[in-house]
Amino acid sequence: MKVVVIGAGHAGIEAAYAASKMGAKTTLVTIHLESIAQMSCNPSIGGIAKGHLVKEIDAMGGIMARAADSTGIHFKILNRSKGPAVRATRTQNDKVKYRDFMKNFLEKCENLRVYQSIVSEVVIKNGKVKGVRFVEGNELMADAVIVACGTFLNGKIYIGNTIYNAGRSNEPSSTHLAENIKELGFKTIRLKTGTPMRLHSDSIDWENFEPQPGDDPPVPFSIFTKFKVKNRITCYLGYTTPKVKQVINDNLDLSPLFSGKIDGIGPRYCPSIEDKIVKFPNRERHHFYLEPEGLNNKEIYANGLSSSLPVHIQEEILKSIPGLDKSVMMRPAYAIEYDAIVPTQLNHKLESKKIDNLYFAGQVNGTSGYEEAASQGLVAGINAVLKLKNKDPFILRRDEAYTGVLIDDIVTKGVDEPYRLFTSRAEFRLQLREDNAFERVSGYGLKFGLLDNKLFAKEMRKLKKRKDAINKLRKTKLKFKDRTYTLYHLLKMPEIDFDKLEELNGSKILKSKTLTDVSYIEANVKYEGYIKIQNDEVKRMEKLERIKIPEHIDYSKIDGLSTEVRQKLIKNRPLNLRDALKISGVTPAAINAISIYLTLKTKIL
Amino acid sequence: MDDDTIAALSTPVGIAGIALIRVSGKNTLGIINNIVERIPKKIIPKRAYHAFIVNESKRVDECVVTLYKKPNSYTGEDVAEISIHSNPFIIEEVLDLILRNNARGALPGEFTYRAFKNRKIDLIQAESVNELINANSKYYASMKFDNLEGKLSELIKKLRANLIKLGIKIETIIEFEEDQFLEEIDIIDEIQKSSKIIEKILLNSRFTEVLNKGLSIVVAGKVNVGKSSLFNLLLMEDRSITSHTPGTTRDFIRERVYINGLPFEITDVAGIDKVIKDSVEQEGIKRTYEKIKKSDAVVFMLDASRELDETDLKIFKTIKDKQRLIVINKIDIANRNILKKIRSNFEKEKIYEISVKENINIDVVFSFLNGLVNNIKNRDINFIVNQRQKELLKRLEGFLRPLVKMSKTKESNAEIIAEEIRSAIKVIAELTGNISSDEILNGIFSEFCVGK
Ligand SMILES: Nc1nc2c(ncn2[C@@H]2O[C@H](COP(=O)(O)OP(=O)(O)OP(=O)(O)O)[C@@H](O)[C@H]2O)c(=O)[nH]1
Ligand SMILES: [Mg+2]
Repeated sequence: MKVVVIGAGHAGIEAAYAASKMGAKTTLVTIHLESIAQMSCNPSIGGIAKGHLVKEIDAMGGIMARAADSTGIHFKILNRSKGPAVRATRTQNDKVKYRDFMKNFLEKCENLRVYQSIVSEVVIKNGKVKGVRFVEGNELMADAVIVACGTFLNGKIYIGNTIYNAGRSNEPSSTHLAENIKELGFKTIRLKTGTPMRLHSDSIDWENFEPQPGDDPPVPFSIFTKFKVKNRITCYLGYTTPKVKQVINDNLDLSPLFSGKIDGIGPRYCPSIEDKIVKFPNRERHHFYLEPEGLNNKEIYANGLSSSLPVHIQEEILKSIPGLDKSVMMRPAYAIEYDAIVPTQLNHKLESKKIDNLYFAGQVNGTSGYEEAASQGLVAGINAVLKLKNKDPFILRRDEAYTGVLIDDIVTKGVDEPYRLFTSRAEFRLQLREDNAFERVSGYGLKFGLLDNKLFAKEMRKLKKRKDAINKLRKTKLKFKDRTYTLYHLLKMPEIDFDKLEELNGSKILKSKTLTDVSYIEANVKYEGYIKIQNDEVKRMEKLERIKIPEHIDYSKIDGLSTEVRQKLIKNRPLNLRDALKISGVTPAAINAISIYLTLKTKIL
Repeated sequence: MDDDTIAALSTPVGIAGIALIRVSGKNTLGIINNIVERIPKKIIPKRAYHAFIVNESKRVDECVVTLYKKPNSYTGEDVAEISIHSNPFIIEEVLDLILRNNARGALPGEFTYRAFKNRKIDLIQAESVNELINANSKYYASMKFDNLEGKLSELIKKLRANLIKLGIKIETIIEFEEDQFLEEIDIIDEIQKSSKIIEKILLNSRFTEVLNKGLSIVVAGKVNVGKSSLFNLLLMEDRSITSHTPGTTRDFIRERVYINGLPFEITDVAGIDKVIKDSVEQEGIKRTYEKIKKSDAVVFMLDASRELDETDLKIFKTIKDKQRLIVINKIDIANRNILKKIRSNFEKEKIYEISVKENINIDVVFSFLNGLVNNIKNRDINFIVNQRQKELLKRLEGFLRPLVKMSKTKESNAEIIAEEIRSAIKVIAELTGNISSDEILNGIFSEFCVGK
């Protein structure tokens, strides 16, 4: 059982680790050993919805969360003041340390070889993967291949009028592999993303910026982490000026984004500074964050100032911002355009529908973000081995994990811009929380051998402690505003959170409590009613999913459909009634009409 | 879909004196127990019980309830058939009551569909079922909001847009915490706007305001043509009203009657004479003209036994732009020449010959009245909210109401508010089609400057 993983970015790492840990002889191919797990954009892991993914990866035994804790220099819970479902962990990380951690980790893994080379071709025979060929001409046989080459397919960097081929700033892009993938018949789309400039820390006048300290106390990501994490740096918040607006407006024609040189579609959630200024002309200023890229490193990541303008205009922009006016640029901002495969060519295992044992994971599938990549890598790695072992595939449901939402979205709907996960993409948001990631998915980690029994048992005890506390709330009564309530009832009230409840109770309910404990308890009490409704919805959706729509269904024969709905169905060709209902503009009445038609057809004809 | 309990009116409104509501599904028995009074705890299937529908201990109507136990029913599920008086207001209230007790409005053809699924109908019947369902769903499709022009669809579209806006705002609060301090996002205003629209629609849903107070009909004609006789005949049709004033009408009499279950307000006015006898009478005539002006339709009556005269023509002038039925009464004692002369004077009009006294051809009056209702229905279809739509709007209202209070603490409750808004969006989606999360995300990016 041999597996080759192409690319040692965030997807490739998880894929290779999972495959090797599950017993496959695994080779992880990287262009540069030094740039394993390179954070090519911002120096942070997690965030809203992304943090949720990282917790799932962790609960299944993946590496990302551990690496984030071990190399974390700033820890923050986003949405902390909101409810538990949308609270999310984010770390700032030392980029160099992150790479080192991952390289070290992988080097120590059994069954795993990290290998520096460039794959030029995936060898296919009779619709099945046979291995890979390297640019040096040698071949490596494999039973499964996982392509996780990020933005390296036909990567092209744009800075003003300067355009050059690269997968990441000054690293070669994979043009051979890109050609090979096209030859194999994969449809690709051109996408675009960007990264801001890096500034020298000593050249910034920090007085001008608002400090954004990490949380006190900082909360770690991983259930593997045994040490106390620590905040070691502070991030800073700043604003652009009307002068910046003017500089950009005066030089728009120099931006390849606006002059039409870039055809790739960029992510709207990651707009360049010129995008923001053009799209929101009434706004006099835009905010940005200054984030240190590491401890022994003077590079500062100017989060919010990504751009594809020429270097001298970038410098002029900096000059127009008090505090950055004397700053020294260490790396300019750039836009990068790259090929991604159309992900609807994959099944839910992330395996090609056409070629057996060929998997794709990460940014090459049109997603963006380290976390999105890592979670796909894990799923692809697990499935590659399961298939070789003739075992049932591993597919996470939408109501079970954000990973499931992400993969289902891209393989059923495709992407039209780099896909980023949002909590609003999840129908069952109140169930998919960081605090219950362990409860949701750790069973899989255990089953596949990625999570060891001891750690699992330890976390199970913590889970039991939370559940016991909830039971205690049901039993304990308390007088509040002249009436007697159970603590459980009190916690349901919007104005009462767990801390407030302990205060009312006059004594601690939990001896020692973590944010996970508090969030878990609050969620299970406050969301109880909603979760019941959502569970019914899950059942309804499962039922709809079981009703398959035949491929050659003639929608014109179904009378109760409006023309508009009919056209949408013809265009999207849903495989089952649930997918049909997901299509924008389709009504339950239309679903009913199709369902009636299908029943009649199968029973009569 | 097939797990829930469904209910619907099985007889069309306004066709019979009795309306039949059918309920099918698991909760059927529970619903009966909750809303029917004076029915034994142990109901024997297939036996008709005379009982009362109660709403919060107030009696709504008498009823006859028959229960059919699964699988020995039309649909193969537990089914109840509830007969009540065919009065649109009573029907509406009873249906409302049932839906509030854990049932939902049946989709077109759904009873038959369930019957078919549970193999209560054989294959030969199934063919015709298919046709029936198709016919029904066509009708349903035509009742869909987006197919409608006019006021209601406009309001629904506005409501949809409002809810999406609300979704966009709350999702921005959740997804972009670090960009938000730049925008003051107000959601209460949007919630209130949405609630107002729903209120407006529901207020107008009571079978249109016209139907609410009944269609007003004036019986007009000169003195002694038989107006009061016809009026009394119409009143007789509605057995609930017994008192009437006999004799020559001096001013006017107005009565509210239900004909085929639909409300009418019929006015019998003083006959108009060419010789104006005294000022009291003159005042009466003036008022008659006013009544005609305000009415929804007029029954204009001529006399087959007397010469057509100036008064007839004068009255005709006043009803020219009204919906009208022209009848020549007393056809039993008609004079051929007079009939001919009348007809030649109203060549362009459709004129019916009747006799109130001998009960000849009176059907034309009834079908005219029924036709009026249908006309109004068609004309105002934009504003007729069907039971299912109404049910959805009420549910929507239920989701929005608590939000205003919640939103005052929007920070800590954002995800719960978002959940409620999602439910509301799902409800509106049942009327206007699904709204995908992409639509909300698109809105976020076009409205707010978020992302780094
Ligand atoms: N032969 C015959 N007589 C009728 C008919 N309809 C009404 N009459 C008689 O005509 C007379 C007048 O009837 P009413 O109904 O009082 O007439 P009206 O139009 O209300 O009279 P005013 O209120 O005075 O304007 C009565 O004697 C009725 O019995 C009919 O169809 N045939
Ligand atoms: Mg009279």
